[in-house]
Amino acid sequence: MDAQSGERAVELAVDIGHLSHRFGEGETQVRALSNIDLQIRRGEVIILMGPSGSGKTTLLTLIGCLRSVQTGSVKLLGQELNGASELTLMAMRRRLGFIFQAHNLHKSLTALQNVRMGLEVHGESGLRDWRDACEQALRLVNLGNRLEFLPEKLSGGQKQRVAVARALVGNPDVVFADEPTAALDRENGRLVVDLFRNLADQRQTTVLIVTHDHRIMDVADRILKMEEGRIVEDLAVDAAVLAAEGGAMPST
Amino acid sequence: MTELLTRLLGRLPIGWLQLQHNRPRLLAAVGGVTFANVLIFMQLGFMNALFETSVMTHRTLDADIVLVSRDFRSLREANPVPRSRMYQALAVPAVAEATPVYLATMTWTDPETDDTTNFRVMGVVPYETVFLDESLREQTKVVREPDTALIDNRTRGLSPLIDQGLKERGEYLIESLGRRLTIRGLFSLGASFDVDGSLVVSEQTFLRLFPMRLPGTPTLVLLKCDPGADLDRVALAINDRLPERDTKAFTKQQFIDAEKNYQSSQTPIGFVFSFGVIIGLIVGLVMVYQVLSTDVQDHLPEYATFKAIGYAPRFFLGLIFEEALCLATLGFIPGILIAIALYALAGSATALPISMPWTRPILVFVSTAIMCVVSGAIATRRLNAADPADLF
Repeated sequence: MDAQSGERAVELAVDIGHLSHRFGEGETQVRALSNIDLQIRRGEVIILMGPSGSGKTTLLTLIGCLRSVQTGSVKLLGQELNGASELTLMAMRRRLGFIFQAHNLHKSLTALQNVRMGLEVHGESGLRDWRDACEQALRLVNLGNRLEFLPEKLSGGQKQRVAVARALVGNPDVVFADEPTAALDRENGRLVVDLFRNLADQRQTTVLIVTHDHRIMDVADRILKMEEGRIVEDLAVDAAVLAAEGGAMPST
Repeated sequence: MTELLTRLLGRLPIGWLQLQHNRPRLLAAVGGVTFANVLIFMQLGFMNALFETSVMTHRTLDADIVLVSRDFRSLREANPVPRSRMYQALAVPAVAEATPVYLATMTWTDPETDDTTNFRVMGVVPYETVFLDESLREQTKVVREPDTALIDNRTRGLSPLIDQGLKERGEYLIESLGRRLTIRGLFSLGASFDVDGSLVVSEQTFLRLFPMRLPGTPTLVLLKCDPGADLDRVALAINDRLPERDTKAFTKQQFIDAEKNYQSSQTPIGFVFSFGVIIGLIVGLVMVYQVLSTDVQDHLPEYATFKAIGYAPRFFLGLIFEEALCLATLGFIPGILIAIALYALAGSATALPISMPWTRPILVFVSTAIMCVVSGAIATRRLNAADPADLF
């Protein structure tokens, strides 16, 4: 690897080449992803769009180390995931932040304790000054007054924001967010995506968002559109906005 | 509690918090473990009472070495020993004294109440030292008179009229086996599973009560050795000295152990109580498994989320085991309290010495903890269903 390509590899958070993925065997086999090439730089905010079944969830789970790569190459933060052991995948997941549409907060834990789970995974080092870090994460999402509330006492939007705080409290290198603003009102939706933008700008955190919420498109650097297991459009946001104003999205 | 567990575990006690969150389920699980504990405690209590009462008579005898028939298995069915063996044993160096003891059982029906009592009758030589208990030893002299007896005041269902008669007249008459016996005193021994109590009579009275028993055939011969004698070696020397091999010499401890061994391994009773303990453990295991597996099922999305975040499989095992040990502890506390109360109740109802030695709670707690952990280990199989890839 020469100096230039080495520098490029470090800059890239995600580097995907010829990635394909299928589910099932024989006649019931379904091809979820077909020959995908994609590079995402550190500090980029990417919005992933596409109809149901287009492959965006499969792509997200493969990059997020939640599935094993079958064909092709996925390099995440410089680590090749094709052929990686379960131990490696688990270690990589600790560098990531996940925000699920269904929140999946632990119903027996308070908001503060749920956020703490995002720190405890890092062991003793993650627990130093955990309370301050967790409180701060919850204040950032306007939940400083709900620290000791159980999820059943929180609204859908508040739960979503606790899930955001849990994902971000461990300072992840890459954040995966599935419809993070679906349960939020305009104000809080804006608060969360601005948080993503700030992390990307200030900490070089890479953010991948799956969303259908057109109100937050402006926060992204690029918008990817998927159809039938392929990336059919990859647009810089300025171009997308321009294209939308013009009535069409130019392909790259 | 949460704070304490957090300090102990060095992490959030999620298992405890989960249990605490669903109170009805927690109560059901604790109830199940408590029930299993009570069942195990009661089985062990009865089993221990069986063993202890089966050697109660053995313990009260003042002997270093005991001669019994070669085929001895239990006092209840011991065959007689030729009296001549007593004299042969006395010829062994270090054997100082010897006395025969005759044993048989006798049924007495109280004419006042029609209640039947099954006695172990011990025929002894009144001027010899047979018992360790000082008051019993003193009273043995009383039975020199023909057809007199001492009665065990801890006999199961003992008529209060006997005690009253002894206080008022110094004697009480009973009739059994076609003979009249005058009760002249009380001693304290206790009931067992096979007899309600004991009577002490003289050798001569015994032979009148049981005319089929020959004078030269005692059930036991009690030997006392010189102070400082090596009892094991003396017993071996006696066994070598007895040519016909019809009699066996036991040290007193061996005599007790032989009886216990018979009760535990040769009778169905020992098996039944051991089986009861196992059933208790299985009941607890099934109930704890039900609770833990339902709990795992209910929290699969959260566990999948923790897997996605990067928690290792050992974290989930620790979580389930934490729940299992919490249940074991919470179920044990009411379990032991209920068992202590039931011991007192059963002891007074059966006249059996059902006690709680300090080792038993430890044994039961460890068994319960193992039972809960095994339940937890089985329940963890459901964790495999928590696939983080399904979360998106």
